[in-house]
Amino acid sequence: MDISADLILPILPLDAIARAVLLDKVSGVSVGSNTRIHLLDDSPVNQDTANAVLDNFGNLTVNADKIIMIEGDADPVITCSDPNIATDTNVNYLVLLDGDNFAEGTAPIIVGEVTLNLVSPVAGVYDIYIYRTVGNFASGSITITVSEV
Amino acid sequence: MTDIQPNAHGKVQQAQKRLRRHLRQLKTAGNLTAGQRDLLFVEVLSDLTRIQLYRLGQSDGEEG
Repeated sequence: MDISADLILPILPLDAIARAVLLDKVSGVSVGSNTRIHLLDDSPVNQDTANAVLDNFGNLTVNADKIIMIEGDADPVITCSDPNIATDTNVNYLVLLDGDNFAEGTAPIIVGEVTLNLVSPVAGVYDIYIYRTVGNFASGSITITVSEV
Repeated sequence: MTDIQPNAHGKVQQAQKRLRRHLRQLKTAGNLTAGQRDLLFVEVLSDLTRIQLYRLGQSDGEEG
């Protein structure tokens, strides 16, 4: 069964979120004229989860102390203190560099806030996605552009 | 604070970009001494494993 939304969402972060929260219940995602999550197990709870992933994509507010920088500048610091994550223990993150998977992991939430440090970035465009793996599975992102020295 | 560390693919991405930048610098910095050119390469290559260097050799076709 496909769960779809009439939106065109970025495929890599959506795939990462869907696999993180639906595990082996999802075969993948596709993006064309709309966006689809392909469920292998279409139980009501999995349908609800897939719908929540789509409905809450982009709903987390993510900030950074700089979004434009030059290679060699101090590392950019990314924060999220969105009320959605206030009671969570941790969140997952995915980082794309020029559209390719660059890094992924889990980070703790301390006093309602998660803080990420992008270590020594090279020139390029970094898209940093942060997403919940519980609750409403909300996600959000910020883009940091690094120029060559 | 959590440091974002690149995965294996990300490390290669970074290394490729650094290597290309250094190669461009070498091409335009005609007044560098041989020792300075060596230092530029050491800075890049010291971060790479043998496997990453192999991948760079396989995939980096931009520098002529």
